[in-house]
Amino acid sequence: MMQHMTLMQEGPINTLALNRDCNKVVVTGRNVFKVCEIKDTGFVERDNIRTGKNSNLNFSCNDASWNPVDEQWLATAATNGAVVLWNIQKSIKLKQETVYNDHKRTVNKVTFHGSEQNMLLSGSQDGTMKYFDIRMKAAVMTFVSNAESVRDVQFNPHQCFSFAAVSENGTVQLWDLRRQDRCEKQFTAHSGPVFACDWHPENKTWLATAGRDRAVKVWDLGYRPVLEHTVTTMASVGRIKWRPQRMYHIASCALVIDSVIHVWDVRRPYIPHASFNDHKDITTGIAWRGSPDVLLSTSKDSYLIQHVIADAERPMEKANPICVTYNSKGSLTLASVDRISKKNKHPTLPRKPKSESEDYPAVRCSIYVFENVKPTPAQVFRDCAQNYWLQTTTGKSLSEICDHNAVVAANAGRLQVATIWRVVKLLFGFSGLEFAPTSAVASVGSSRPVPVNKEESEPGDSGKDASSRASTRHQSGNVAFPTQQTGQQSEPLVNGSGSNNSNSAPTSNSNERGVSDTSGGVSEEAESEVEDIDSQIMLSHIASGSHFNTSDFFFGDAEADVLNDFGGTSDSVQGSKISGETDQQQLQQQQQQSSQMDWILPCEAFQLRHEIKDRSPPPEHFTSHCFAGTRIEAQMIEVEDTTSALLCLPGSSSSLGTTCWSGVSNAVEMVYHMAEEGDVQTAVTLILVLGDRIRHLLNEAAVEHWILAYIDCLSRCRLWNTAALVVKLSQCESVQLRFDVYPTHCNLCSRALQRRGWLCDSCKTITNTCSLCHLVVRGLYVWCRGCSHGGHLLHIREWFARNTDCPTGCGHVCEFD
Amino acid sequence: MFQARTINAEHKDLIHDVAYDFYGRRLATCSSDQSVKVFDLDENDEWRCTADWKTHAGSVWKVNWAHPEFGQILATCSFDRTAAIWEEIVGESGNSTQSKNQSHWVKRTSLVDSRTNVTDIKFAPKHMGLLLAMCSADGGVRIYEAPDIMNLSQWSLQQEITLKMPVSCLSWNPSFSRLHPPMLAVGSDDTNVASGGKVFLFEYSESSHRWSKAETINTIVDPVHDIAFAPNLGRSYHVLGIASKDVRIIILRPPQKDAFAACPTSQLEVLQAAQFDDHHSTVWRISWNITGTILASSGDDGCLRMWKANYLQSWKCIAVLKGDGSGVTPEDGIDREKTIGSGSTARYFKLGAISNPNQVPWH
Repeated sequence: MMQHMTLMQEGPINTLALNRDCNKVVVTGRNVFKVCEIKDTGFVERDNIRTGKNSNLNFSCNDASWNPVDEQWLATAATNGAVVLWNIQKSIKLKQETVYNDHKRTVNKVTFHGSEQNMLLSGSQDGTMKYFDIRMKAAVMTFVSNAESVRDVQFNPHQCFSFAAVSENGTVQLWDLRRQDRCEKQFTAHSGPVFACDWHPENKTWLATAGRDRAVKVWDLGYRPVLEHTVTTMASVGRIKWRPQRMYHIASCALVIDSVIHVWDVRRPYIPHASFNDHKDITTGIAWRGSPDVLLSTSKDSYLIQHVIADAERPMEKANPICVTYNSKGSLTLASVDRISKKNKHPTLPRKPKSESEDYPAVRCSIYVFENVKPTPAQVFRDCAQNYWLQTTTGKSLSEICDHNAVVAANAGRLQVATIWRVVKLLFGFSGLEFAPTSAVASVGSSRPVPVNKEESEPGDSGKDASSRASTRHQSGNVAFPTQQTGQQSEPLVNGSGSNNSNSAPTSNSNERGVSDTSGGVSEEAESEVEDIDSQIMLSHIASGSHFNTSDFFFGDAEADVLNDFGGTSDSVQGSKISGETDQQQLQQQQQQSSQMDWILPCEAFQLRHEIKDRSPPPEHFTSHCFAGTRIEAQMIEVEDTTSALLCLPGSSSSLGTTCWSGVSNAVEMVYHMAEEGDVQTAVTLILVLGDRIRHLLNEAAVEHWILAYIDCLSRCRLWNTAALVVKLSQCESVQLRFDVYPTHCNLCSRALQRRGWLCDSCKTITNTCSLCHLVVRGLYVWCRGCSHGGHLLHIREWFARNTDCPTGCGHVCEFD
Repeated sequence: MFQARTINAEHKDLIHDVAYDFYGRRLATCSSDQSVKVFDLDENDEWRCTADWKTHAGSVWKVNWAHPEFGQILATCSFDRTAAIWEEIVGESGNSTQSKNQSHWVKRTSLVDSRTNVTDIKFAPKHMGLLLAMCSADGGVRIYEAPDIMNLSQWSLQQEITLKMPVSCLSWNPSFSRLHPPMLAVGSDDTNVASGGKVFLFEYSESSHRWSKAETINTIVDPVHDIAFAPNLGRSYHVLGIASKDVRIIILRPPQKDAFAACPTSQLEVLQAAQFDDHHSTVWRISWNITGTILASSGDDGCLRMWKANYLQSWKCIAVLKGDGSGVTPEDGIDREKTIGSGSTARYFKLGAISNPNQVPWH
């Protein structure tokens, strides 16, 4: 069994030559000239021809050839232009037999005839080939190529007197040994020097050539040379050798760059069939050791290596025959090789060298685009992105927006998202409800030094346009709870109504500080005890189904009180007060509905996530005082969550829950949940629609992350308008800086426009008027990027139908795409 | 249900990669025949080849589009040890119709630092700048940056990481969050199972300006052929798809940290979410949809399989598509329902379909 073997020499090796029986090899180089025997276990050095002090340039060889008939003869091509004949069976040290000094320049190649033992042929840099009879002391014949230098000569193994020579001007010449005056055939094979050629061992008319154009070409030299195959490699090819017993396989090694020996199947010209990557430097000589499975090679790294094909790398196996990709529209593209017959499942991927078949089919690849007929997530995303209402400033109330978005989601088949929108509507959309948390927390606001007197009237406005106001505020902590004074006034009322439940303070630990600040006399221990009792009461209420009444009673009561209180404080609240009162009944129903809705909601919609705990900002600026109704409501929902066995963070949830109307916390949970699920669309849309109602409870970094992700998705779908709207509404400075800022310059004075895009501060003119009608352009403005003059699309188009230069007369020859 | 149509690519050898641009309107293919082709959707919604040029002196393994903000830029990498950056040149206006239909691509630079087969090249997410990473079979991962995004011929080598095994694929973490440090996942196709984990995660440290290894996923010891981060879309964790001898889905949970108290020493939490060997053979390529909810994988069995998680985060196969028309043998155990024809060139078998989308709660 052949095995991988290496032998290191003293210096770089230029070439190798095998004897007929392939059991001895001669390796030669500038400083190396040895005959080695190849045994099964390793190389054994037989003769070191380069011995003693009398070494001269005759010992440094470019090429060597072993006489295939009479093994004692060895010929080398010396770098000094000599062709040297050696008799290696001489017993004396100096085995040199004859030195032919016929060539004027370096000899590139020597070769013995395959069957005639006395015939030796050489090719030289001086552009000639010489035929030697080794019995004579000088060249017998000289063949002059018209090229500067001959790089390779090879006897045709199938025709006794024919040989091929390749030269640096890219031509191949076919000579008859008997005709010295001119070649039989000549053709240009490569663009650039040809470095090697090799006759096919079986196919009589095939000659392979290799050159600096990085190609190995296979020619059929029948009547006329026909290019049969071309193998394109990555570097200039220095040597090529057909693989014995394989019709289409040829080994090649590069002259520069690449130290890898590739074995190609000429019908598969792009991927090597096998590769040997053992040498560290340029491979200089290759020879098949009589069998198709063993290859000997020499290299500039001084190693002689015997390679076994079974050890070779198979680049084909690492090449994927199939690939797949998604696009942003949700269609899938598959490129795969057309194959997979039942007999041979992997014809392109021969796993074992034993089974490598000579006839593998031509590789043909097809690309298939699979387009989803049903809406893909990407299309759903697109639909929703286009149709969602994002902002509350367009005069639409929050509930209208929620309704609309729910319909959009439902139409897109996202029933769960639609449910979320409906829930959000119930939680936030009802104008009356907005008061409850507002006033409740307003009472808390008394502990904070927030000068919000001027905003007193806002709760009134919020009845009509609450969300728009909310979005204009920017104090994220307190935006939803702006009325300090009303809060203070309502405090006793709240406490009074809450006293039925003997509790007016939150229970969460995180709120303790706030409690002690504001509620004074009540000790924490007492509170928590009360709280326990309270929750028991609530549980029993829930169990008995009586809790709705209680909560609604208190809630309604408090609501009314607050409204009355508002009425006393500000005239502008009147309207909303009325609306609040008229909606009283409805409010209670809604209240019940929302509670019921909470009960029937699928678990996952409210699944709590760990992130909430860490990401929620410390809730100290919420409530220390809660009025009873809200608190009870909060309790209620908290209990629900526990019963649904999903509450994993009592700390954060109760702190949020007791804050005020726990819908906020639920909304926050929803947002986090959606984001965790990867539904950034719903999350961001919720954030934008709800705005400051929940914004202060969200981690800014997370929100920025979501918004950026959403904008990226929108731009993938080319929904620029939606993306711009998201940027605008994002309230996220980092996002806006990234997307929103486009420096503009005046097209008259070239100064940066400071304040607005249509008025230049320095030249005090309106920019971007139409160059033709001198009016301000509304709508599409088209301008030349060269001179920055432009105007109405129609005018400019008319002008440039007749003219090529700028209508302003600036002399610029305008270009429009 | 899918409708299939073919693009006649006319590559002369295996197609190794297909890549859509950012908007999904252009398609680039690369092949062992050393060429790259670009297809565009024409007015009739048909894919038409608008460019076809020889890019390398060896098999072209991967092709990748840069973000369109930087221009129409392609990166290719090849067996010939180089990677190249190509830019499309907009044809001169008013030329012949020939040049109108065919776009012209010029090589802006050739990255020749690798001494071996360059196996993958990917542009970084846009927010990181014009950055690209390439990896090679000698274990080198190189990160290049174009300091001037207007000058595509100048790329500086930002860092070179050397691994002890050949690297076959890489993927950038697309997360936009400033809480997530830039991350790069790298896979090796080293066939030696004993050499340990084949997927490596590198993180960029803003303080040291260096990429350093953050994690090795030791559970994956088989050669990895493709690796892909799912689009992050606001998740606090990362989902990584891995194509090995099977399809794996790994969830990487960054250490929990506040924006205020960063603790860079803590480790990523690595969880395997799913593992499928339905291909029964080597899995070559995977790809995520834009929402990161569906993973498509293709393997030696010639099938394309799609995976999706339900709301309980359990992943399962939702569709199997077969590309070639050679037919499915009954042993494959997949019942043929209906043939979807697309012209006479090829036949397609609908092997599965997405069930009622209403039952799939999250998209």
